[in-house]
Amino acid sequence: MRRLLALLLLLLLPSLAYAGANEDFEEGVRLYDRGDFTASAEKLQSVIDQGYASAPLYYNTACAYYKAGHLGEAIANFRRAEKMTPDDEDIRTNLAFVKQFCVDKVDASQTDSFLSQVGNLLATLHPNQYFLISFVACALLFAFLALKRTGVVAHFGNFPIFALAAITIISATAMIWVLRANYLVDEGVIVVEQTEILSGPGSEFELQFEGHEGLTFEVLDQKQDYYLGLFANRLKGWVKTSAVEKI
Amino acid sequence: MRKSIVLAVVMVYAIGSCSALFAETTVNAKVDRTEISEGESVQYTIEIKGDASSLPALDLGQLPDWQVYSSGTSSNYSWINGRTEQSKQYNFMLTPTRTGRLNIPAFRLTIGGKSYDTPQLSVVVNPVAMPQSPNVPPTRGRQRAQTSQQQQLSRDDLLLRCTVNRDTVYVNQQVTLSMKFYYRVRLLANPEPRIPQRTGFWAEDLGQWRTDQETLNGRDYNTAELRTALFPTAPGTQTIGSAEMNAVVDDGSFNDPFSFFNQGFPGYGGGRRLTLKSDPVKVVTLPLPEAGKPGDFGGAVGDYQMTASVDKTKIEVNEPVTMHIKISGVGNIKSIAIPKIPDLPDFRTYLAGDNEKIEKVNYEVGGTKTFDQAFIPKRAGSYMLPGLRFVYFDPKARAYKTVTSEQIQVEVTPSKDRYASQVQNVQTNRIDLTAKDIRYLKTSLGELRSRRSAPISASPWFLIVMYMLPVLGYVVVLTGQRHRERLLSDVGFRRLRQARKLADHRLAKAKSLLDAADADAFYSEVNRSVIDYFADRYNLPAFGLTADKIREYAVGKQSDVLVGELLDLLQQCDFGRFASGGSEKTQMARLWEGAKRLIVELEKTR
Repeated sequence: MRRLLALLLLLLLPSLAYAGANEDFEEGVRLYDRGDFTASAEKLQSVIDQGYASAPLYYNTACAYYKAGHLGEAIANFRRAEKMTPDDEDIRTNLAFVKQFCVDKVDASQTDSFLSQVGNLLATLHPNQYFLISFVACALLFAFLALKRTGVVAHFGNFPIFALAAITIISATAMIWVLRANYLVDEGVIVVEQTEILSGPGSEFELQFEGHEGLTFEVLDQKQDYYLGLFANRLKGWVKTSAVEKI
Repeated sequence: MRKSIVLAVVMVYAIGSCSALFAETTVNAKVDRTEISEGESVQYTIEIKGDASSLPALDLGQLPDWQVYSSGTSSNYSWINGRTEQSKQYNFMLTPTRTGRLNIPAFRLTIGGKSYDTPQLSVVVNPVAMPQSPNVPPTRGRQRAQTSQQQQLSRDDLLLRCTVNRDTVYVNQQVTLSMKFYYRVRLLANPEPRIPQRTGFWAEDLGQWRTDQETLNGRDYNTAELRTALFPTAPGTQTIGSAEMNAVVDDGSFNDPFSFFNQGFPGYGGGRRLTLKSDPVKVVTLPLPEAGKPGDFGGAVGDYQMTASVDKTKIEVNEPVTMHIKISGVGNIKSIAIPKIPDLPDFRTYLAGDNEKIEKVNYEVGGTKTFDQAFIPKRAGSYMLPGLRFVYFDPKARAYKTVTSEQIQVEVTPSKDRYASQVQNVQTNRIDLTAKDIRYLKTSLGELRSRRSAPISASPWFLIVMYMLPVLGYVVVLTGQRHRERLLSDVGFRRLRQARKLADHRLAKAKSLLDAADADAFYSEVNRSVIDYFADRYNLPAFGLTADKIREYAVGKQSDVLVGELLDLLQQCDFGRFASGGSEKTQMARLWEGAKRLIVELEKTR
């Protein structure tokens, strides 16, 4: 009987935890509605700090941070939400809206390049969706090859083979591109109003330029209390970890 | 299969081509002049473009033939219209220690693990040329009149003196060095001067040799004078070394009646070679007073004025406006640094360039230095570019003085560029909540995941397994197709594959005959199942397959024991069919079991 009770408790634990997280989430939304954005951000952040993650949770937290005047944290959480559901129009719109308040127009300048535009286009789907497309195309490709071998579809010619192979390659490439951008590369965002980007990991190094809140970059390395960041157009510099939130 | 391999290769290539491009780093070195006169200096600059973020200070060390003075570094970072340029310059002042073609060796820099070499450069250092003989004032007639005296050269006939216009100066204040050659004898060749060592001074030539006549101690002399402006770089007592002059004079041995045509060829007529040496000169350099020194003093000494102007006053967001900061006056113009540009939160700033025009009026160095400072507005509005302060030390007044430029108003309109225009309503880094708002919150928490969970497609093993499934399916279909084709085309193979199945089928029929106690039919069916099985196994015609033929085919293919059992079983079948009195059911059942076991054993030997 005791074992049965323990098993039941074990099965119920996730739903109990979900109920708790959901309660905090709804409380955060209520605080937001009342205009207490700082408290809303704290409440929603507490759910994240418990180890939970979902696109709506990150999205709402980002909105609350933005309203509370924390541009850096807002961008960090919008990016986390975007990674989970890249095709969500609300997330993309709000992220673009918030980014316009960044002093450093790095991301805007990036979009001028062809590669960045391709990257933005590819980022509209989740890697799993790209995988599904490429897997189905790959399966159809080999099925078609098998049917052609058996003579069932001999009259179709080779066009379907090339078309399916192209879809497989393109969607697999897109999947790897998005995976690299969102999961295989560490990203950081400056969360203080202004910070120095130095030529080395220490205050004794030369000032390269100044980065402002909301500036995002690729984290390449960490030494002592500094991150080595790769900024737009391959510009590198060291930033204090205390001024950065990793995405 | 080959097509699959090709597809895989193409896929890997496509993925590889998606990796990000890397910016290039270039290293170059240059000198401001490739030909100088002895005593002059060249500015040697090493410029790094690209990733200069992790460079330590650069030290050239000791260079043969050169004295090296570092004159600082400068960096440029600019983000303009989405393009970033980064460069760093290391500047050195090199002073030659001898004449001739001098090399500046190549240097190897390691940046980001890669090595870069600067080019080797060469600079021609010319000896300081004296005026040509025809320009030397002593007239021929005068020399001829002195011919009788030339044979007894006096030590006062040739003199070399170095003097300075003031022996106590402030750091970076001009002191004019005069190197004057006095002579009252006939020179048979251009004298060869040797400029004194001027370590500790920044030198600026004040023109070519000037010739004149002068009376010294009651004697008339022809003179040649070279003046140099020196600017001491550090306080203390500095010593200007001895100057030297090699001259070939007519001591009477040169007695060519056609001497007029032989001037300049002393080797033909002899003459006497003399080396003159001046005394060293000491200069006391005073430090600049600390009292009253402004914090933004940049080391300029002299008397200066400053003006500032811009190339336009109406610009768009992200469009640069260039401020021309012009500093002119008397002093070491080359050492003047740009006035401090105040922090302007609404602008990005960078130094777009500088140039200098040196003037030497009455042996005083001066001129104009112009800095081009670019200001790039971040947002629209009306702004005042601040007035700049330039502080210098006036050695005559012995005080620091400050000159300022006027403020300049610029009007910044929103940019036509869509990114820049997005920020036109933002006055500071603070978020403007009166602007259009973000979209509303989500009302559902959605599916919760672990914070660190990556999508399933990020797992390489998952991808490998999933992408292998269609390939494996294709291989299975391909194999099955080949098997079917062989069954259709290869009779022996088909009979072999079906032998056991047919034998089992016949044995099952025999079993039903056994149950029905139909002995003749039973023995016949058992006999046929065994014979047919053997015939199918070895692709033989079943008709006419006798015991002898079976033995003949089975040699080397089946064990003798099994063959013996097979023949024995066939014999029992014949006996059962043709013997009178019938058979017992148990005996028939034993035969059936034997036939079944025998076929299983024969199957094992495949």
